[in-house]
Parts: sequence; structure tokens; C-alpha cells
Amino acid sequence: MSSESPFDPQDRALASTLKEAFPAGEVSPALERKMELKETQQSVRDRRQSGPRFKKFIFVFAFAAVAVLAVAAFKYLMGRPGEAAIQLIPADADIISTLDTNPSEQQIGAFSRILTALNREGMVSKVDTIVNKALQQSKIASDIQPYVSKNFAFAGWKSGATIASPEPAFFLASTNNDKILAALQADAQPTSQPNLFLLKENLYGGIISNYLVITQSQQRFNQILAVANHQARSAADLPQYQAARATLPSDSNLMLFMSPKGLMGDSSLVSKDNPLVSDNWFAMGVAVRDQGLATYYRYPLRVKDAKGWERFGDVASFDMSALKEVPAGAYGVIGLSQLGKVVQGSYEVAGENKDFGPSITKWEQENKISVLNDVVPALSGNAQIVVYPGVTGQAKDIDALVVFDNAHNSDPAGLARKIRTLFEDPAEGQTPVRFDESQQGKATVWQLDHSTSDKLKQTVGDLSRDKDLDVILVNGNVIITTSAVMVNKVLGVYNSNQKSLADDAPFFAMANIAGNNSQANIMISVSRVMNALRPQIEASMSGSGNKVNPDDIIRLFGGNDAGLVGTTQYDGQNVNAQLFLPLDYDRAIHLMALGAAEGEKNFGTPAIPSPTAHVETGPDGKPNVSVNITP
Amino acid sequence: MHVLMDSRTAQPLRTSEAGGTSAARVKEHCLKEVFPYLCRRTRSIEDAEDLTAEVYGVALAQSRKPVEQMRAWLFGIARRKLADAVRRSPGVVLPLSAAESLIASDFSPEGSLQRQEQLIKIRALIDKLPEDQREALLLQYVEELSIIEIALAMNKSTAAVNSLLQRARASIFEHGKTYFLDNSEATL
Repeated sequence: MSSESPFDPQDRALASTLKEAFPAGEVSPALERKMELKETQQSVRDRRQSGPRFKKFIFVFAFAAVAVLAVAAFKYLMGRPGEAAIQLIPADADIISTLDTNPSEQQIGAFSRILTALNREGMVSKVDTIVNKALQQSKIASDIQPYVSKNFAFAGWKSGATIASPEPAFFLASTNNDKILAALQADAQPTSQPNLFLLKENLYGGIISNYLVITQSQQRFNQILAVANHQARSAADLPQYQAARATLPSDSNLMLFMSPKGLMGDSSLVSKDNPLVSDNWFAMGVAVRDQGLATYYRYPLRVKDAKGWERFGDVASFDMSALKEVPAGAYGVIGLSQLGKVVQGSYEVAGENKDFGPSITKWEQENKISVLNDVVPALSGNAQIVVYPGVTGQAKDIDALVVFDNAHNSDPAGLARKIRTLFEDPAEGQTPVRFDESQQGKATVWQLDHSTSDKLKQTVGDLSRDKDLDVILVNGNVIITTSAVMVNKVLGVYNSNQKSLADDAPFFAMANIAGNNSQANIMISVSRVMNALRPQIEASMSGSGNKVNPDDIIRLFGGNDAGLVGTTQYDGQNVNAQLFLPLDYDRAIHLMALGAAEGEKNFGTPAIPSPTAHVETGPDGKPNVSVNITP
Repeated sequence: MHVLMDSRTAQPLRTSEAGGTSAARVKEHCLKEVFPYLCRRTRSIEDAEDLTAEVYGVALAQSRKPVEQMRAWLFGIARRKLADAVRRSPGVVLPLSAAESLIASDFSPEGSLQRQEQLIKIRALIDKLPEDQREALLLQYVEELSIIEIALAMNKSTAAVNSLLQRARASIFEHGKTYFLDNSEATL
């Protein structure tokens, strides 16, 4: 207690004893880092929340709505300097990429965990050391580096037959224009143009707006300058770019866009005569999420004018309630909606072909099955391929289900009966396959007869010992299983005494991520797969000197509910796809640090690749630049 | 700004500058006062660090608000964060009576085994107090908060805090007076 304490002696004794009984720990550097992280997060929030103080008055004026939108866009883009560079990129760019490392509100938690893990593992200082070493090779780079942020954009113009070696322009978000300009004045060669500098042969640099812009030619730099001065059109003004951007989440951290010209390897393909080429732009975005990385794709595909192809754009969404038709406990599931339409489209496309058309007709006649009248109506519902652990529990022992349901008035049972007849009464010279049929409650089960089953097991080998081929017809659905165990599980689901995949925690979580708009999807319970592989992983880690904890590998993708989710959907104009990769950032960064330490021990500090540019004059008189990266 | 007085010391309470708090002062309070407080109440230093950082984060977010009683305000945030942590993960808070190892680590092998046992018993005594009494007692005697600061942190009136403290002291002295007297003699 302090000397001015008014406590009486008994109170002072109490205070002294209690302090002794309740000791506290020392402040560690870790706590200071955690607090610095909070400061960073707060500064991000402040930047996002700070706006012009006159915002109130804007509402007073006639153009209130427009002004508010403009202010909102300004505030948003100030938090995303990488993306904001789009405003400077000329509209004729064929490829655009941006990187924004400022987290959105939704991303603060994940970024915080990543930064904490990077600091804890010493990765930040390690990378700084490597970068500093590399920068020492170039005075100008080391002088400029402190004044550019980790947010940047890249634009490329197709300079040859493919987009693989575009003419690039880089936009590095500046944190201090004056300092960068001073560095350029001190270290680079001035040109005839004010504030444009020659960094090295065919590499120009200068400040435009709040960016250090680096181009390969003075003309390109001036084109960007004209865009900045609103004398030329920016990519941001293109409706195609805007449409592509709108398909990605607003807080995508890494984005890539390609024009149709950039997308097609051969520019001759970019013509109105090619029905598969779209005017739309390709878009890809990666966003950091709490539980992993989400990747979004949009691939333009115009098929309206192509016979047969339009079917693909007319496929209904996969109904996630179909997961109620299969038992819980799966490793993974592939869901496909209305395969019949895909078959119909393919049938029509193939029918147009003079080689395939007659062959398909011949097959239909021989097998007495009509693609359009039997197959397509049978496959108009949801189809699922589900993989389960086998009864032995070994990683290589798996069971599977293939399910065709009766959604959208589909009739898979009708086709199943036709195929069974075909197997049991095959064409002359072929061995018939027999099924034993039984009724189990409301389900009809066809089981491959013993002699056929034994022959099949001999062919497949040991793992097929507990396997069987069974077909269940229930409620108009057809379910093909690989074992009697699976038959019981499926019947348990239909009798409501077995949990379905819809109630299985990891798949419930994954179905939520997948949403209800995909036409095809894949969901894999990564934790179940990794746990099944545990014996192999532990065996491979058992060597002496191995610092990797098997749990770091097994749980690299997160906890028990972690799942990999992929979805795809085609709307007649674009293929939209998403892939969610679950990731435990702490473990991933820990493994990276272990790998880096091991590499350093064996090979020393890695050198940053040093790019060298080689310039040749092409046949059209324009410079062709090739960049070699050698360590 | 109205200056509040500490009823016990008759000194003006420590107040922040008018118009808001500075991040540096908030940080200093968090490191020197909030972190030790959370250390004493959580199971691990890491938990205490995480909670201290959270308190700091909340304080930074609200730092534009004028805060007359910075310590009381920060302890109030810390108490709420601690309660949230208990809700999320009950194991995060250290039961007072289960801290033998924490105390034992401060003693040399030849040190007073008897004193060590006494401290464990004291912790058990404190643990048996009703939660409000225990909190008020520790905030006053260990964290050195004034009555008004405790009242603000615990969202109670000063009269209620005084009452809690009187009952807590009475209970502690009734059951463990000898422990405090021994120590009193040693320290006086």
C-alpha cells in the first residue's frame, strides 16, 4: 500500500497479505504486440469511419443522394488503396490485378490471428530480414520501400500471341509522395518530362495521384496520366469491368480480372462468330475469412447461340434438402442437379456431329434405351455421390452411395428397371447379371446374386470382401450402394431412425457455406479425411529430429466441423464458382515457420529472386520484353 | 468538469484530460493496472494478455468519449470482458482456492512452508466470500481502487460498496485474523 494510505495497521496487513496471496505476472513483449495489434485495428476502423466533416450538410443540397454515394465510395476506396488504383488503369488494359491488405470489419478477427501468429513465429522479422537483404541490392528500391504500402495494383496489356507475357504497369500505393519523389530525384535518371524518371532501361517511374506508377514506356505512363486527368477512359468506367467486379465480394483481398481479349490465347477466337466467346470479363477474387480462404470465380461463357449448349444455363439449383436422403458420417459428397439437362445438351451437340450422331442412334437401338425418353427424364432430379468410411475403418476402405432422386418429376426408378432388364437379358454372347430382389419396409432392394458378386470380388481383390452391389428403390428414388452395411444405414434414414447428412454437423455447416444457388457442388469433411489418414501421417512423422507435431498436419484445416466446399453455377452468360478452403491460420503459419527454419538450416537464408529484363525489338518495331527470375 | 473526490483520501480522483483520453495513458493503465488485475483472475498469462488487449481495444474505440474516472472505467471494461470470457469458456478464470502452484512458485525451497500454507488458506477464505464482497475487497486492497472507483467499476453506489467491504472485512477477520496479524507484525 502506498505511504499515504489511510488504512489502519490491520487494513495495511490485510492489503499486504492479499497482494502476497494474489501475485501478478510480468508484462511480456507478447502483450505489447497484442496491444499494438489493437491499435492497428483501431486505426483501420478510424480510417474507414473518418469522412469529411461536411457530410451533414450534403443532405441539405439537391444532389444529396449522389454526393452521399460519392463520399461512401471515397471512404470505401480509401480503405482499399489497391483496388482504388483501378481508377488510374486505362480502359484498354487486358488484365488487371489488385491486392488489398487492409481488413474489412468482417476480416479483422482473421487478420488479427494471422498477424499474431506471424509475430509469434518470428515470420515477420524473418521476411523483413530477407526483404532488406534483397533491397540492399538496389539503392532506389531500398529508399522507396518505406514509403509504399503493401497494397498495389497491376495492369497488363497483351503484347504477343498470349497473355503470358503482358506489358506490365505497376501501381504501388504511396504513404508519402514527397519522400518517394525525393528518392526518385536522388537515385533515378530524370527524363525530358517533369516528374518522370528512368529507373533502368525501359522502366519508367513517377508519382500519379497517390501511387508510384512504374511502366515500361513513357507512352504508357502518359496514358495513365491522361486517365488520372480524366482525359482518357479508365477501366473502372467499363460496364464489363463493373459487372465482373460486382460478382466478387466487396472485401476480396486479391482480385484478378481479364478482358475477353486477354482471356483467349488466340485473338482470332475473339470474334462474334465464336458462340462460346463472351463480351464479359473473367473475374477471380480471394478473400480472407475467419475459418479459411474463400475463392470466387466468374468465367464468361456465352452459349445462347449454340445449339444444345443453352441447356446448361437452364439447370435448376441443387436442392440441399437432398442431403436428408443419405446417412450421416460421410467423408464427402458431390451434388449435381438435373444431370438430364446436361445429357440432353450433350446429346444435341453430339447429334450435330456427323460421326457421333449415327453411333448414338445405333447404341439406343441396340440397348432399347432412348436418351431423350428414358435417360433425360430419369436424371432430372438431384444426383449425389457420397463417400463413407468402410467398416474396417482403414483409410483405403471406403463405401459409396450414388443417389438419383425424383425431384422435378424425375423418374430414376423407371430407368433403373430398364437397365436391370438389360443386364439380366443381355445381347447374345454376353453373360447375364442376376439380382435377388427383396422388400424391406417401403423399400425394394436388389442385391447382386452370389455368383456374380463372387466373381466381382475376385476381380477387385481383398478390400471388396465386405462389399456388394445393391440398388434400393424407395419413394421414387434410386440409391446404389457398395455394401449391405450401407443398405441398412440408408433404410435407417428413410425409417427416420438414422441421422441424415443434413443433420451431420460438418455437412450442415458446409451446406450453409455452399448456399442454395449452386448447380453442382462438392463438400468434403477434411477433418474426417485427415483423421482417417492419421496412422499414415503419424508414421511418416515418427522419424528422429522431426519437429512437426502430427496434429498440426491433421488439424491444419481446422476443427471437427471444418470442410472444403466448392460450388458452381452457370446462368447462361457466366460460370460462377466458389471454393472455400478451411484453414487453421495458427497451425499453417507454425508449419511455414518450421519449414523456413528447416530450409534455413539446410540451405541458409533464401535469396530473393532477382528479376532481369531482356529487351528485343520485335518484327513490328515494338519492344518485346522478357523477364528472367534467377535466385 | 466536475472533479470527484475520494472519500477515503480526501484527494481529487485521478481524472483524464478534458475532452477524451489519450491512447498512451490508456495503454499505461492497461499495462500497469488492468493486466495485473486480469492476471490474478485468469488461469494463464496468455488469457490475461488476451483479455488486456481486448480491454485496450474497447478503450481505444471509446477513447473519444470524455472519461473522468479512467481507472474505474478500465476496470469496469475488464470486469465485463472477464465475465464474457467466463461465459465463452468457464475454465478461463482461476478459482482462487486452486492457486497453490501460483503461490508456491514465489517461495524458495527453504522458505516459509508455513507462510505458504497460510496464503493458500487465505485464498480459500477469499474464495468463500460472496462474489460482490470478494470483488470489492480485492479491488480495494489489491488493486488499490478508491471507494468511488470501485462503485463506478462495479456499477454500484458508494454506500453499497462500503457495505460490501465492511461485511467482507468482518468475515475475513473473523475467520483468518491470525494470518493478517502475523503479517502485520512482520511488515510494520
